[in-house]
Amino acid sequence: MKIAVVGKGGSGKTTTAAVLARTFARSGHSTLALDCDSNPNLGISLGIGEQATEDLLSVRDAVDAGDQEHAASADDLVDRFGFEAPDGVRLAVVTAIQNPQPGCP
Amino acid sequence: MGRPVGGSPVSGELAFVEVLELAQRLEQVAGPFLADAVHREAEVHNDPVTHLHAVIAEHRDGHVLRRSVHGDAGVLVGTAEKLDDLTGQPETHAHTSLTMGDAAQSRPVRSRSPLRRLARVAGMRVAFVGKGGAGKSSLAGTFARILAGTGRNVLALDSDPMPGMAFSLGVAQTDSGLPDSAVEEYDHEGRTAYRLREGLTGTEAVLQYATAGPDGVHFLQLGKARGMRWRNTRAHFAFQRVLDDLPGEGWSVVGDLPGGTRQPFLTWGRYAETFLVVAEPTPASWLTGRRLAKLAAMQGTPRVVVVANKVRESHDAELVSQRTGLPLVGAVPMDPTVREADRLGCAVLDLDPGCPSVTAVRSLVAALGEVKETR
Repeated sequence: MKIAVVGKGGSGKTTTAAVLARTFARSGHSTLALDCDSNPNLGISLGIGEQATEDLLSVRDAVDAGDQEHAASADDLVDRFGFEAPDGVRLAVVTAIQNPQPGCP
Repeated sequence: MGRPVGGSPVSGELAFVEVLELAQRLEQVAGPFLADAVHREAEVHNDPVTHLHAVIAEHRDGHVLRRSVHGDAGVLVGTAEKLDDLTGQPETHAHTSLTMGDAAQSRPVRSRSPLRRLARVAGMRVAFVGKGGAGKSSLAGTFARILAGTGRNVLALDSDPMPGMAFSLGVAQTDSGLPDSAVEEYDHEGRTAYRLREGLTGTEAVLQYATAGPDGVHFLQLGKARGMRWRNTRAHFAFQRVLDDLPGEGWSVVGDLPGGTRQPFLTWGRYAETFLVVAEPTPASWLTGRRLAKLAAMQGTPRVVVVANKVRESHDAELVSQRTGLPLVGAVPMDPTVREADRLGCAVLDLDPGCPSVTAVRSLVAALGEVKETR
């Protein structure tokens, strides 16, 4: 199954997503936790810690960085840039805002 | 408790003596209960003077004393005056601690109210940023109204696509945006582009379309998602023009920006002289604060400072400053009144103007005014 957690800031999206991911993983499902927030903090809620969360390279940055092939498959990206979180959850950060230039309004 | 946030030049011992003296006189003025509380504070904390202020502020505002809640009570800048009211001797305590991080100096209590002093300062332009749920809207709305209450022209500018500021301001109308008729199409090098309609300046747009809120606040929303994205885009590009032409002289602007590090925060907050990062004592909040500071630094040199929100422990405020790497301009205690106001959908200021969080925001208004004045 594929679940997206949405809602107002501070209502508990990240916490809910993390608990869901670890619960599924514990019950034997292969679980991918995707952090699609431009301010990605899911790592903290999954339990990998503040520093590791800050150091996570987003998939997009990794691809933009150069020598990785742009045509890599989604599975390949998750394998290469995913991060091992507790209970066997695979964590991947989709994108993080790295520059202050205006984009869409 | 650790070192007081503002750093007090009063030695612990001297402060202790002062507190005992005050406590004795307070006993006459305010009864044994308060004096007892002060004694307990003095035993527990090595910066009893600032804690004393907090205790008295809470007492004066009719709240049950909650010893553990107010944290680094130096946040309650301005309570020195309440203390003076109670004791009738303004010079008794030598210093009041302003929670301004390391850059701040404790200073002699002045006879003039910080808020009154603020009236001499030119308008301030502040934008509230921070992690979702950190309390931006709550603080920004309260901040705007308190500032307006000092007799200034204040524009409360909501550019968070999520609702929030209307509630914290106590404005009944949650849709106070610019109408589509304020925008016109024009041809820009062969492409269709959008701008404010001919003859409409940003300032006029504000004066014409802002909603009148309590305490004389002018409330305007820009950048709200009113429909699917493609319907918003045209208007949003035009509405941004307003940001470049906000009312100037004599006006203050208090902005509520989207949560997190969304790319447009600098776009929609470009009027700000000060970005006020609202951060809770949590790692996710700190990480967000560091990211915001980094993004802001890449953009130029707006002043970026932090206000600690929902502080519970005495060292929380200092921790927030350390872990975000930002200078602390204030701290707001965890306050059940805010939660209750959220639940009721009303302004915390209307629910209980004397509650600890409102008192702390009052201090924050004064503190930012001071910073600006001395800049």
